[in-house]
Amino acid sequence: MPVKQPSEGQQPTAAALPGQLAESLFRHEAARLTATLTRLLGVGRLQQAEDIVQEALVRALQSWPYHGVPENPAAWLNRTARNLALDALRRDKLHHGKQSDIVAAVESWSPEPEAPAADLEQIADDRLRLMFACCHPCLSPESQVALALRTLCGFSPAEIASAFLTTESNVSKRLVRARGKLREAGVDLELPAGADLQNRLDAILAACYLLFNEGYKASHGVRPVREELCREAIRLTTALSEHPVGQAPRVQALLALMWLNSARLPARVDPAGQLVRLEEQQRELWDGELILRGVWHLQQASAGEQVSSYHLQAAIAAHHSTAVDYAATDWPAILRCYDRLVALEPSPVAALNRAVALANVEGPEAGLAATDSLVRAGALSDYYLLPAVQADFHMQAGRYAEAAAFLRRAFELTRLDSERAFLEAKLRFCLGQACNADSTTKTNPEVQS
Amino acid sequence: MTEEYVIFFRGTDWDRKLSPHELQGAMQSITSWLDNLQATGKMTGGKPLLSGGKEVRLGSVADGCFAEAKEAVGGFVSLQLESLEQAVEIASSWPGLELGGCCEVRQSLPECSMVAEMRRRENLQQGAGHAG
Repeated sequence: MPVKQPSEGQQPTAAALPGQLAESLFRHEAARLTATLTRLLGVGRLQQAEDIVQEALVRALQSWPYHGVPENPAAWLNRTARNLALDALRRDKLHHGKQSDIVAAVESWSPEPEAPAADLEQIADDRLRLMFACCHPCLSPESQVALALRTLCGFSPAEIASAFLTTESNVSKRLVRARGKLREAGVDLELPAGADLQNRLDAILAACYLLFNEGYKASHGVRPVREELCREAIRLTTALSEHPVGQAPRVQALLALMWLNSARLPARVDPAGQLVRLEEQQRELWDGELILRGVWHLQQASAGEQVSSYHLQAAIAAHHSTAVDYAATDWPAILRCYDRLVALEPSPVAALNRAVALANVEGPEAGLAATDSLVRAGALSDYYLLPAVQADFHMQAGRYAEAAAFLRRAFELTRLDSERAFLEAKLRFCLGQACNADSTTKTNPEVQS
Repeated sequence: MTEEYVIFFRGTDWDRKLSPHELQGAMQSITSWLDNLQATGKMTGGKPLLSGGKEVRLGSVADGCFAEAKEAVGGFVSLQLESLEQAVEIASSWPGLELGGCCEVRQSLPECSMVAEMRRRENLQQGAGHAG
């Protein structure tokens, strides 16, 4: 079946209804203005750029309620930011040398951002350059993501803190340090080229992947900002994919992965806010449009020889998303993807997922053998999903007493209420089964400890 | 019989810490709050004020020390209302309160009754003149 590229109108960051502001207008305008101002003022003045943008938005808050929302809100904000930048530069006597160049650059900044193609290209370019600066290797991955959220997505320190379960002051300190590091390292807004480009591209992809996962894995339904993280990760990756420097199959593969996983978001949390496992999800809640979009990007990703971990993860997600029901899942194909994934980027979490696929193909004993080797290697000893998966395998084999012991262990290892509720329900079921069957299976002493 | 009351919105620092998303939300709720006062015919005027400004004293002019301060006035509305209680009730519904701003409610001093009576007669005469 040929898959057409889904139309842009269905992007989740859809435009506003007439007469109504788009819900994320201020956030996205803040990001756009920060990128432009950073080009004009330089990376060393990132903080100043952020402050000017904040002031422009505050002016809108003060003025619009009295004078009405302007016909072109983006142009209004643009003009205000431009004037504030010029005021700030005139007040600022510190940078005598380059000051006049910067003033000239800001003066030449068109106050109307609605001009067609050329301006849009400039905006996209500004954003990409800032993206490379934020994901500069001199910063830790956590700082890269925090800075990207602040400057490229318009999140406040408090919003970043709530997304990453930390405190506002921690985030603020991290941001101050990150901006300082960029300044000290003399990071500029040059787009990397040649061999450097590939490494720098990988850093951006890793940051987008981290951002997406942060939003995805912890969708408890109580923090809507987390789904927002998924949307922003997709927005940034899409921006990258549409820019000449982002023309790489693995960029498409990451986008495919994000769309395919997003498609399942509506079914991942039940109305009570509890996580729903893949096998129990109501597949009619999956977003067919987004699945098509993911599959389309996966096809784009197959150009070229390279197979990245994003390719394999997207392929796995595609197999899950296109199965009509859980029983129809093509587990052998998924297992082949996991085999390659584990070979490409050995990680205990990937190995654990591979064990699940293996159990679905060859039965629970094969799955247990695989998890046993993880246990022997001392991997994931604090990760609740390892005993939870082991419990599943024992349940499949009908050994409910063993399963119960592993479930207790998993329960001890997680603090998330939604996970605990899920494990508790399973544990009650296993204990009931174990009693009923009056299990003759000997309990495993290792597990009882 | 209505009187004129003025609500001053104080605190020009609370909005500095809001995120773009929160600023947009505040802007939208304050807009509908003002729209409602206008639609019900209560509002007679109002203006936002830029922060900063100058402080003028005898013999000196200084930069306003009230920029981004808790006490500084960031704007005002004037309203025709029945009573101070009604003014307080309306001020209490200002969306900026939840975000850390505060308001000051004041009644404007009405004209002294004799001046008002003179003005009334003058207006009547002028009206009669025009009519003739």
